[in-house]
Amino acid sequence: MGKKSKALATKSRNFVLFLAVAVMIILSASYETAQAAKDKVITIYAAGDYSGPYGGITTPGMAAHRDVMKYWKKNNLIPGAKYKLKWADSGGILSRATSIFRRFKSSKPKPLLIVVAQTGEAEALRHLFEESKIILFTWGASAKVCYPVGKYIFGNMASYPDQFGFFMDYVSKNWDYAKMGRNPKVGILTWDNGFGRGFESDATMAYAAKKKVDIIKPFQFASTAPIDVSTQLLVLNKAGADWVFSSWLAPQVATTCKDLARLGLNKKIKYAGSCPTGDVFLKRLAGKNAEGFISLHSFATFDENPNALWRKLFKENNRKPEDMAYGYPQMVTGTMTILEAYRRAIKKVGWEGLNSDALSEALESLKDFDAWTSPVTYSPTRHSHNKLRMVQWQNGKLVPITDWTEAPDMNPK
Amino acid sequence: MKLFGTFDVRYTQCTAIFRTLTHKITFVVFLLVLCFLPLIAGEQLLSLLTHIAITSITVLGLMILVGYAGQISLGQSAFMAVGAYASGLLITLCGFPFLLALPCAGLAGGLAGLIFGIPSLRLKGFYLAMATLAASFIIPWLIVWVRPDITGGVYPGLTVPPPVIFGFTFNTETSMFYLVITITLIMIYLAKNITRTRIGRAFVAIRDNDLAAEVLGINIFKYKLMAFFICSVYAGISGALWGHWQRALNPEHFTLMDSVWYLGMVVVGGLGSIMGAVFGAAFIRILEYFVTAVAPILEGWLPEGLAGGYAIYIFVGLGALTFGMSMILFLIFQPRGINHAWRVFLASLRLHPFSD
Amino acid sequence: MVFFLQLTVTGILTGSIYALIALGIVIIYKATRVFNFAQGEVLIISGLATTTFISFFGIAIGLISGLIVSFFLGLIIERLTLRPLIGQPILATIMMTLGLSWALRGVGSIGWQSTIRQFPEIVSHSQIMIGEVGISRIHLIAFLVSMTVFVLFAIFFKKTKLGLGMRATAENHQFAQSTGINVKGVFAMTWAISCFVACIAAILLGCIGGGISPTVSMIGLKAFPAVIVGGLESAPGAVIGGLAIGLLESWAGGLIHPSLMEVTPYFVLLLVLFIRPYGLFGLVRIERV
Repeated sequence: MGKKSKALATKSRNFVLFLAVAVMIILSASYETAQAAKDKVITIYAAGDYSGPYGGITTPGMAAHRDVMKYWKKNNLIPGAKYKLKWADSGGILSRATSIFRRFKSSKPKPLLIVVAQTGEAEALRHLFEESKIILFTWGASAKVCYPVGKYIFGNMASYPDQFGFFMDYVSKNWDYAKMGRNPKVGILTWDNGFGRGFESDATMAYAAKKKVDIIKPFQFASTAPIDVSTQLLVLNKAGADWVFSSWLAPQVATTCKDLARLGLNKKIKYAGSCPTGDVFLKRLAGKNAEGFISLHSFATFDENPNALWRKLFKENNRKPEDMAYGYPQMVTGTMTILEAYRRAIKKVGWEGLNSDALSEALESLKDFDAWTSPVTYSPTRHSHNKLRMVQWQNGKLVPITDWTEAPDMNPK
Repeated sequence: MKLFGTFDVRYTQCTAIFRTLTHKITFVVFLLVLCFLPLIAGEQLLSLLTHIAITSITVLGLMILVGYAGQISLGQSAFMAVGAYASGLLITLCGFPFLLALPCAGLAGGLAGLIFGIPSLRLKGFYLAMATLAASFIIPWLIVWVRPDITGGVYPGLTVPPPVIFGFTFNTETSMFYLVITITLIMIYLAKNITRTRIGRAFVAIRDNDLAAEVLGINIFKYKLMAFFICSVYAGISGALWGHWQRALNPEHFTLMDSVWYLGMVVVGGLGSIMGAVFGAAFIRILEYFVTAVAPILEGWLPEGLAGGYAIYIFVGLGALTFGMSMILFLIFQPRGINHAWRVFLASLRLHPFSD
Repeated sequence: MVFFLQLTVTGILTGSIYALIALGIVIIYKATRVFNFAQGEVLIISGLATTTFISFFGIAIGLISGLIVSFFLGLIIERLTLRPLIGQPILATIMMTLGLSWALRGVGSIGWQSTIRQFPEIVSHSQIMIGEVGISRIHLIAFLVSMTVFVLFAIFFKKTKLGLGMRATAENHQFAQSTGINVKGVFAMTWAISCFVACIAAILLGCIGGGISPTVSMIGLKAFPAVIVGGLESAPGAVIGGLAIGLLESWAGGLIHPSLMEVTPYFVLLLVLFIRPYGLFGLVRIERV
């Protein structure tokens, strides 16, 4: 009896297993067709690492997509339009990201624009986006994603090379060549991946030389979650660095700031980072040690103007303090830009004529568009923001130290 | 499990791929379905199948190494990287045709595997895994740092052209599907043949007891290296196809975790069965596809504002949790793999109503 | 020379944390023959739980309850995922830990929104100067804590009944069972202790980094070469392995080329495997025909 019931259990278990697999296959195959196209729906597709290592900054971006779309719907800014967000989590795995892209690409109606959160994923998928004529709207605008400027590739920030160029301007402007009698030296401490080295290109290195700034070679690298970067800092110090520049996230900045302070180098070496480092989380992680850290920033921060419209949205939608990551303001701008482009494209060609070419042209037509957290300008020759500013960590707050300024264009000619 | 009325009179019958007419008919029907699938299926399904097929090739190699020869490798994706870069560079730099570059990519992957397989002479079990683990860090490092002017390094990476055979360019999902499926079928056939001939039997002998195998006169070192070579040839070819499918490469495509997942597919499919490799690859890829697709749908069903601002996090987490839990439940209830379950299922169908 | 000494000190101090994470993996492998690929995720979950407790109960009680909870986390993980796999092939257990890592990742995302959680500044970030070599206070404390943990474990394995039971189980499951050791209980305890150690590591990482962020799980990868260089079955090996990896990283990055930082441990690993196939302190299994 016992034996028989056990055998029966095995059999039914196998049956359930195969049933589950069959259901999975059918569901996966029919999923997109189940959501048929309706008129006047604006769908924003978003793919990225939401549960993995980058989840901390990307998921608040998703909150921003929703909040801004809700605002547009409430105020009926595009008459009669409905808004929808379709997202998928790649978990930081590239092969997953590609399969997500292929799923999105062939869903019906064909998506016009997909937001991609990871620099590495955007770099890997760029070709496929251009081939399938879908707009790649990327969080991380590295040299490899942005250049050469492609009709369907847009960066939702000043590109990393532009940021680096802006930083070079700042360094050479604040350097007394006559008094010091030598060029300023900038050491690089970053991740050895697409995002960490996103600013690196021949154009930026040539620009640094033109601005009489010496870049210390070789670059220093640290692991994804460094416990200690004092080795790298000591090497850079030995090479005579006046500045250290990083392209990574707040936790790594915190580690570096602390090690600089601990080694007593924070008086001698100034520290700066590219856009995603300007994160209010730094306050929690590094406290006082972050004082003086400079971040190139494309967006408004949570430390200024609490009455701004986007801060009100943040409150209205019950967003939690955890959402106060850098990703939220970035995607407020991102969603505003996308929806404004839709609005202009629809005005020009109507709902019927809406395609990615029209959308791309609409994006290119944006001139100093107020996207709440950032002024957005695109042009046919420049598919990333042209303006950015610098924020510095002062008394536990991110304080803007420059106004919105046009960055040098690092587009390789 | 044999059908009633089928008797193996000769050894060749016992090891035949198709034993009965039903087998042959099923296979032909299967081929016909694959041929005409693009007419009815959407691009989504095709790209999913292409992804499964490419993964299957690399898992097949691992299946021969792990399931038959009893060795272990955590460097499979690194060997894929070697194949992908070899094929891409041979075509872009040396102007090789695709049909020549593909076997060369396999060979390059195989050689890399051979080098990291040498410790297998002295190492066993997890220590061997660790020698190959080193490969999955050292090979990407070599790609990025030794000649970045050729490989493109991290920036700007390597751009791979779509495959061209006799003037026909495979640049759509449909054409890629046909190409990849054809190569996969050939690779499955080769794998099947490897395992049912002398080499395969030697592998099994080594897996079951390497000391006894040596006594039987099997040159263990030779066959272990051969297993590594075959495994990495499969990885190389799979990597090359991946490169031609993605058309942009950098070392981030090939990480340690991918290798571990390939090993996982071998387990899920069922150790020691060629079809198990395909099953395992298909199961994990479909599960991934399902999880990434379904979590957002579920979120859409939830009335807005019910979970406050947390809904996104919950559903992002649910996706990952479902994926993990499916793996856990699968292993608890079916630790011997899909292939085993499949055979039990078939047998119970045949024996119905006498199966218990 | 000062530069070299400084690199050495940095390497050793960082290595002690790798060693602590490696110890968690070794404890499990030694007794249950399971290689835990989910150690990074366990690290995160226990760290995040600790931050929550600290925000509720203050530092002292928060830390203690964090440690206790991770102890029970280990028990639960073992009971739910690995107990059913006893007797199954080793590869299946590897797969199980992979599944576990995704499940834990999901738990982290649901429970803690996968964001950065602050850790209170328990120790100030200053350094003690010995001659011209600066030693970070927090890293030094981390080093001392790790070493204390190792010593305690050595005593635990040598003196206590449970520790001896674990060693016997590591030797041979069936023999251990026949001498009256509760092997299942030992398995459960191993996981509990491993998660406990992971929690200590997470607390140290939290103190050093100022908080627990999702990227911390990547440190789990660092422990693999440490485990292997030392030998999978040896706790002292894990210590030596961890310290060696830390030192190599620091020396290679500081003296040769920064890109070598990540990869040098693996070159050394290969070398070790060629010369001593069972790691530096691994158990040599003798086979004769």
